Amino acid sequence: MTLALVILAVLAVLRAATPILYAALGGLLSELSGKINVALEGLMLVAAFTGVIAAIHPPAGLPPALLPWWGLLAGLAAALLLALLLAVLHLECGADLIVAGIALNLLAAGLTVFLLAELAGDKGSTARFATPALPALHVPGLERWPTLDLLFNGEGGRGHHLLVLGGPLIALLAWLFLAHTRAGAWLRAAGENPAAAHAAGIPVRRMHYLALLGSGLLAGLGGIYLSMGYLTLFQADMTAGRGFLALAAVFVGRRSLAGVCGAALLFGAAGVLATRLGGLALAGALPPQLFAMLPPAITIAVLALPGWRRAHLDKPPRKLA
Amino acid sequence: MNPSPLRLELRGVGKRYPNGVLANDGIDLQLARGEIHALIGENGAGKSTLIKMLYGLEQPSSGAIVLDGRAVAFDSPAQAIRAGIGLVPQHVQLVPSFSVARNVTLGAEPARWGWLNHGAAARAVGELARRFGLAADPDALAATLSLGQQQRVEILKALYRGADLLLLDEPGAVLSPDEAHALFTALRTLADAGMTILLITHKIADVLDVADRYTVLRAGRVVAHGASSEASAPGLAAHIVGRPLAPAQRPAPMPAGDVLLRVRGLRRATGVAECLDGIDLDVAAGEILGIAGVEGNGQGLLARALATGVGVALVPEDRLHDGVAPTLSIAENAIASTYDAAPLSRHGWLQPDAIDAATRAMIDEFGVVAAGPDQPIGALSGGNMQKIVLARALAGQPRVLVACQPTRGVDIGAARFLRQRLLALRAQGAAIVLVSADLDEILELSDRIAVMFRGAIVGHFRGEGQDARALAGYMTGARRQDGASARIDAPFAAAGQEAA
Amino acid sequence: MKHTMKHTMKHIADFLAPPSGRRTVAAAGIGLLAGLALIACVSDEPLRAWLILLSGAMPELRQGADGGWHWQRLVRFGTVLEDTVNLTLLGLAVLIPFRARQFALGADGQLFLGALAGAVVGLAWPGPGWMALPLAAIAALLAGGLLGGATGVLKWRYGANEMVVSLMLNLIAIECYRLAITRWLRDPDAGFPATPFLPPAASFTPWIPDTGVGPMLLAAPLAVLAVALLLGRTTLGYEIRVSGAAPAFALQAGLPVGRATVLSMALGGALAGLAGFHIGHAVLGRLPVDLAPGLGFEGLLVALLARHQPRAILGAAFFYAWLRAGGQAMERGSDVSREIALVVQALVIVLVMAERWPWPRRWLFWRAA
Repeated sequence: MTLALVILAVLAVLRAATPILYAALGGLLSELSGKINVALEGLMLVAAFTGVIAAIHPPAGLPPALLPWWGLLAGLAAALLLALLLAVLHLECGADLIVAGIALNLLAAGLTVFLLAELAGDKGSTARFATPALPALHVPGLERWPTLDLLFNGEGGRGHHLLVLGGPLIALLAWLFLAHTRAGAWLRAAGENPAAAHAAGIPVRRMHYLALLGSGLLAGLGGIYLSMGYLTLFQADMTAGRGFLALAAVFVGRRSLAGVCGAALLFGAAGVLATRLGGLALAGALPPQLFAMLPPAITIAVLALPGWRRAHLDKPPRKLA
Repeated sequence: MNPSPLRLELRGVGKRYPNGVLANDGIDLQLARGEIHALIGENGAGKSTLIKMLYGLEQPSSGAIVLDGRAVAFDSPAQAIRAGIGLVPQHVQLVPSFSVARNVTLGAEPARWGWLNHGAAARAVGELARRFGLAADPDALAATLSLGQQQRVEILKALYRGADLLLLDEPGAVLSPDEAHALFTALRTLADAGMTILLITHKIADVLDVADRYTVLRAGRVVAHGASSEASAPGLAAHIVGRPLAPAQRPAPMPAGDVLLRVRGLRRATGVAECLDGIDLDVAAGEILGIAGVEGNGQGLLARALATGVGVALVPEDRLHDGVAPTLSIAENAIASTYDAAPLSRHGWLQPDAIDAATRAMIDEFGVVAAGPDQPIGALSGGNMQKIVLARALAGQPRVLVACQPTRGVDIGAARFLRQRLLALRAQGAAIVLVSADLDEILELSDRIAVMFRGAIVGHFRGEGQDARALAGYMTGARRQDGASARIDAPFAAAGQEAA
Repeated sequence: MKHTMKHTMKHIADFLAPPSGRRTVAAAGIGLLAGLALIACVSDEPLRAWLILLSGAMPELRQGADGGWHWQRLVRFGTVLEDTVNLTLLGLAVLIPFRARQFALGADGQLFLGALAGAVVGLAWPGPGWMALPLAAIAALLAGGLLGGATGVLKWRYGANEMVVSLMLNLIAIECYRLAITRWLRDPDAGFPATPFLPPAASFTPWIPDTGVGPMLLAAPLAVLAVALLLGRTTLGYEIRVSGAAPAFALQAGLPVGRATVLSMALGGALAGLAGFHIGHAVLGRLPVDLAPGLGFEGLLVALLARHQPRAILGAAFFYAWLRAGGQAMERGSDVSREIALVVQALVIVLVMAERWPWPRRWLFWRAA
């Protein structure tokens, strides 16, 4: 019985962590190339929005089964476009990368609400439309082993969402890319020592473009999961800071893939913890706002921890002068 | 068709930068196959610019570069590499977290369909190292190598890309005399095998020891060239400087003063190659303590560690990064050590008139060539910037000054001025620690000399009448003075013995 | 011929990247035109809607039935002025840390806490009436300043990235605000969760009736002046600027970089807290629990518009507030929703932040390096 509870909790954490994971992988990619991408929030938002809107306005004659894939493509295209804008603004027009990222976040927020009002007639969400979700993968034939069935097919036996399963897979692919491919080596070299990379003939600017566009693609996947998986609609401000949590995961993970994945899981868990605690019996005595403060407090603690340890555990050497 | 006997020819090559600076002016140069050619000149003579143009990092604004009889124009290093040109830069450019093998094969990794073949890379690098006698461990991480080893990796990089024209930018700067000798032997081997080598240097000894022919640059122009067998040291020196060199003036000895800076048992560990391993030193008022050693043995670390203290001023090693704020004005840079006291500020309010006057006085006194106190300091030349750095350090009336590579990258006139100011400061009774990779500078200015090797002081010498060859053995770690320290009363090493 | 073309193009390019003032005005113009284009995509009467956007905030002088001249739409214009004050303070709140190269996004939380602190003092102050307002203002400054300083300390001492920390503190601060109002400060007579109305001693008398425009209007230009003086003429301002422009140099030169970082964020937080005080005491008269977050980000927009120059903040804030009111008018008077104003603003910022404009042959980014 308790094993089932644990599995359910783990699945909930995975679901919550998935969007953060995708965006964090994107953030890691661009950070390793030497360009920090603070526009993850906006990228997720435009992808989430465009996916749903595209599903509401599909091209004529598209078979219904392909509708979610059409949404996926549209959402990714939108995220790529925004990432391209960021790349061009910084690499060609010389804008400060962080300022540009923040500005594009604001642009994405305004644009999505505006277009939501215009194209869906409602400023809050697309709830009145029935929008599809990407399929879930269901492993058949496990009915005789309830625990395994729970693990692989989740509560209700419907299976896990494609993008949830895709998260660890993409993380694996990212590791392979960075450690074992030439492009990955070039990307890391461009980030660690651009002068050396340039002198070795590596097209450093092209690497920066690839990294920023790639991070847009990955963040886009995270956003699409929000509006076509986690929920099947788009709400204003749907991302609710997940893009910045992903950024925090990149900082906390200290440019290592394992660290970033771990941090993303941690932040997902913090969110799940807050909601679960709020639902417990003792919550009646404590105000709900206290639980809402829990995830941000955990995030701050996690961000400050490495520095705290450095400050209190390493003593600097003494000098007589 | 006969291949042109000339591997490389420069015809009237010139470079004028957008800000008007004329770095190279009508350079003519000829390199034959299998020749070692030394390009020699002082700092600021235009050597680095020429190399950048040959490697595609800059483009000439006039003239032609002719390779094997065909005119070429490189827009990027990738093109230069394809044409068979390899650059061994003065400051090593390796990726710290990559291994030697991955650094050597950077940009041309053996791979199938984009998938890296680590084993093949390591094998290729090992083979190359054996063939050319450049010892290197393919799997060692670049961050753990000494500077000499890193330079060897740079050479392997060029060789791996199939370079048959090698550009070496000041290779001896980071090598001990023995390592430099080993390098030159390797270069000779390469040249005999058909490699063409262009050696950029400011040391006359390099010309006489290893080069076949030489070209002297001064102020961006060629002023002399010929076969090194027919060259002489004084003749070359005269060409480099443009007039007969006056013998170096040693500073007059000063009466012994109080010890102003006392350090005992200083240790630092940074996790990478450099460290400090128990330094004892004193510096007295009115003396200059020179810290000599091959770069990368802890001198920079020592300088930074010493500079944290009241009344201690620092001229930092990395001018553009630590020494100035390039986007701010000269005035804003100049007041950084004195801004929080009268007359430049009162009760937290800056006094613009006083700041302006003080900056102008600084500019005049140090002969800085600038448009005015409000000019962004990044527009100044290296020498002028360094003058402001020193002026600012002195403005706080420091009792101790730590000067780290004070004349690096500075033109000869400014360098001379800076050295004179250091001597003037010494005459006023300040204690000066001079860290410099330029042994001539150390020998010219120091009252006492301490040689550093692997983070420790291994030799303590009197400055007067000292000789570079005597110090060489200590700099490479071949010789070591027992219990060496730079305390004011520490004994001097047995100097003057000829190296075996 | 080709050479003259290139020459002309270069002139146009130089025009687009001239001294800041000209460029920002040009960018504003282009942004507004782009707004027109966007409106044209979604509206049946784009030009009319666009004109309302541009002019909707303007008060009108009309002749009334009694023959006298009256100001119409003054309340709407009053809103513009209130917003300008808020946005000026919030823009400055972002600007000061930015000059120290800190991207502090905590203005929202600081605003909420500042409003709360001010309201607590205003509601609970037992002493002489004339002290209520200044004390409430000081409380707001302190609350915002402490929150901003906390972000700074976490950055300085533990290296915690200030963007994420300030966003997290926002969330915590806003929850504190909501908790305080629902639990301890709730007005039992109000129809919705809110504090009681602030007593007259702790309120401003408006200059324009039925608006919140009063003495606090002066806070905007005074704050701009104060910040300009701080950054340009004080030693602390010098430390902040140098720490931001060249951190390694500042450290080596012995400047108190850590202290400057913390103080820059604390001062920014104090100004954001003052904006909260303005909202509570001047604009709303009480604090509702559902005060909408997001004003801090509009302050960020204003700071970006002003390219982080204090002198330009006032104009940028007014431009933003004007467009926002115009957007609301446009929404009421046509079929376009008001978020277009936000899109226009973001577009203007995007145009303003570029340092140079590449030409088509450089857009072949696929070439090596």
